[in-house]
Amino acid sequence: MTAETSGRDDSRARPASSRSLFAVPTPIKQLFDRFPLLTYAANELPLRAPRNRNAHTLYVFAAEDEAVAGAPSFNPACLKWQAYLKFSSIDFQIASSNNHASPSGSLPFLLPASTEASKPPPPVPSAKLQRWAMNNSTAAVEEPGDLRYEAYLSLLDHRIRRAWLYSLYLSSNSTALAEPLYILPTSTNPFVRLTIGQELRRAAENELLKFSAIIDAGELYKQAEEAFAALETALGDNRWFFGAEKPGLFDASVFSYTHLLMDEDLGKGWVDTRLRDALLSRRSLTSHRDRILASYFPEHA
Amino acid sequence: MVLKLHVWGPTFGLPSIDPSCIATVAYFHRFVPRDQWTLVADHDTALSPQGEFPLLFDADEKITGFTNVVSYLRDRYAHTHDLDENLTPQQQQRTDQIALTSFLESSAGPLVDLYLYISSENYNNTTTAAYTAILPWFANYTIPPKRRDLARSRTAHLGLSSLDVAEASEDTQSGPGRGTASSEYEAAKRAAGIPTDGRTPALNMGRGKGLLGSPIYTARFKLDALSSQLLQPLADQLGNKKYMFGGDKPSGLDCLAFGYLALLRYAPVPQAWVRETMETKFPKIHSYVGRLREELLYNEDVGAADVWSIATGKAVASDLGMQLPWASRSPRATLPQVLGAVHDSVLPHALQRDPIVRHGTSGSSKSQPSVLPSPFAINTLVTVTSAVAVGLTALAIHYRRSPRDGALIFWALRPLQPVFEPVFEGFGVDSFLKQL
Repeated sequence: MTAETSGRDDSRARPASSRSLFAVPTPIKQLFDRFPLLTYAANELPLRAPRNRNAHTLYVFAAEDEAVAGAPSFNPACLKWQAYLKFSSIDFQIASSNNHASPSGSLPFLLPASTEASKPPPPVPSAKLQRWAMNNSTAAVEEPGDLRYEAYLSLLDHRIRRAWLYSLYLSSNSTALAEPLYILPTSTNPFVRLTIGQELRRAAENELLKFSAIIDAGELYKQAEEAFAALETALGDNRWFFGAEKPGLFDASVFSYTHLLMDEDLGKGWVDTRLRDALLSRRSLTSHRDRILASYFPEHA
Repeated sequence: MVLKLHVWGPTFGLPSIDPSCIATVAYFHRFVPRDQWTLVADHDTALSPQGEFPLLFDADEKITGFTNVVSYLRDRYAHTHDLDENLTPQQQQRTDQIALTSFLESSAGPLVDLYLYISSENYNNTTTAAYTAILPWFANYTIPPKRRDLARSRTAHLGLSSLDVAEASEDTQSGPGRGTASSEYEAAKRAAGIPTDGRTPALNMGRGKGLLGSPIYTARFKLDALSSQLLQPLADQLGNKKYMFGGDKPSGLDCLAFGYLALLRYAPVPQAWVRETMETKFPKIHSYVGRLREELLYNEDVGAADVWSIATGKAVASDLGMQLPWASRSPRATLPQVLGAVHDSVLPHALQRDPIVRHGTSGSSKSQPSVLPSPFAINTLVTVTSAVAVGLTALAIHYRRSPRDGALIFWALRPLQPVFEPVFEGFGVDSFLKQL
């Protein structure tokens, strides 16, 4: 009996050896074999996910399509570093972004190319970009050790910047330049746009009020005009500022303002041209800008 | 021709408490004959079209700011006194002067702000006392705090707010003196809304211990770097020359440099980090400031009390033997000024005047229409919304005062009201249909 049962068990166990107790019954298996009915392609990466991790990416203010083409940014602080990285012959791409994306709260910042996907390198804020560029460039730019460097830099960082702030956000240019460049791309809701517009205006006003109790356009433009005249004399007949062999950070800073002021197609075109006219009469500054545009942004010249 | 120069009152033996006012006074004292100008210690900036001093009255013209005053004098009275005449041939020097002027304003300005206004120890011990001597009683409640707020906003990007009182009080909380009456007092002060930069005390546990623990020492490294950033380029420019651009006469730039550096050198503050840096690392600058003081102001020690009595008309400059042509300010009614001060300090920020913006003529008449909703559209929307809200509220109030029986929404069906009674008894549908 026991032998018989064991024999019968054996005969049954033989097919079971390929199909264990937990195996799926055949009809169900046949049903499930038909699945999946359709295999979808893998989801695409989110639109904002970085595409080329193997290239340095500089995040700047720019329109999406212009960023792909590597066009100059419309923000002076971003354009300065964009030009400087080009001077340092660093291969990089630019991406359109906004201040909220930046770890330091303001653009530009740079995400270096990552060698291992698991450990991305930390982003480089604009304050540390110069050192980063010097360490990562094959042809690092030497800064001229001129005594007057700091003094002339303060002309750009204060006088010209203040006139630029007024001209872009507070003068009649605000609807033609600041609005299409900085406000409209941020949102499609008219109320959000209105709030952002007012915040930008308030911020520009507060910045200007730090240095004078009253915002006087004539005074700001006069100071900027003086600054342009001083820069023109400082450049003289030299090819680059302070007689350097190659353009450096100072040339990039000057270019960031002169290029945008001379760009006729910026936003919807200039309305209040006082600051622009002050620059256009400076021959060597304008040719300095043309020189940089032709050699470093040839496709946009 | 009598030029009348209005400046902030004198302090620390210097002719003014404001760097550009000192520079302008020095310039005038050196280059304009004494009988051709008068000096007024003032505090009412409403006089000035730019809202700031120094302010120069020449007949009907009003000019503000050091560089504007200097270029006005150069244009108008070029023959009698031009300090920069030896510069004009060299275009290069002229532009260097513009650049260095901008450099002084942008890097010495924040340093003066930090030194006299932000550092709470210096502000409480020295600056407020200096202001008390040159301001009428009511202005002491508005002008120094206002200038301190301005200094705060100008130096916010330097990240040195630890010099401020709020931060110092934070240290006592986590430090050894915890739980004492004074630390409780400090905590109460913090709770009363003195602004802090939002750092939690837990992060500060490492600080407050050891010799370098107090905020002034932790900030000290940064402050020394800032002082050097200003003084090093100036020392380079000065070199071994007597003045910034050589020669044997000071220039307008020397006056401006003196305005800033003299405040930094002569202010008797408890935390004298700029003065110490100047003495130890830049002895040339230190002696340059001393030399300029002798050259431009003949080393006169201006007494604030004397100037105050002259300004209020109780004394005359010549009687007190003062070198600068101090004069009395024209008497103005006190009441409107007190009211102005009250207005400035009491009214909430939102109700105060908007900043004045002078756009000037832009030269082109075309303009670009904005895509954003116009103020008219916004106002219309607000009006309609509030009208609807008011209407609804009025309806609700009216209904509350004279309530009707039954639901408000069926009020229009009032003639049918009896019909609804059977509805609640369970046979509503039939009787309702019958009624129809």
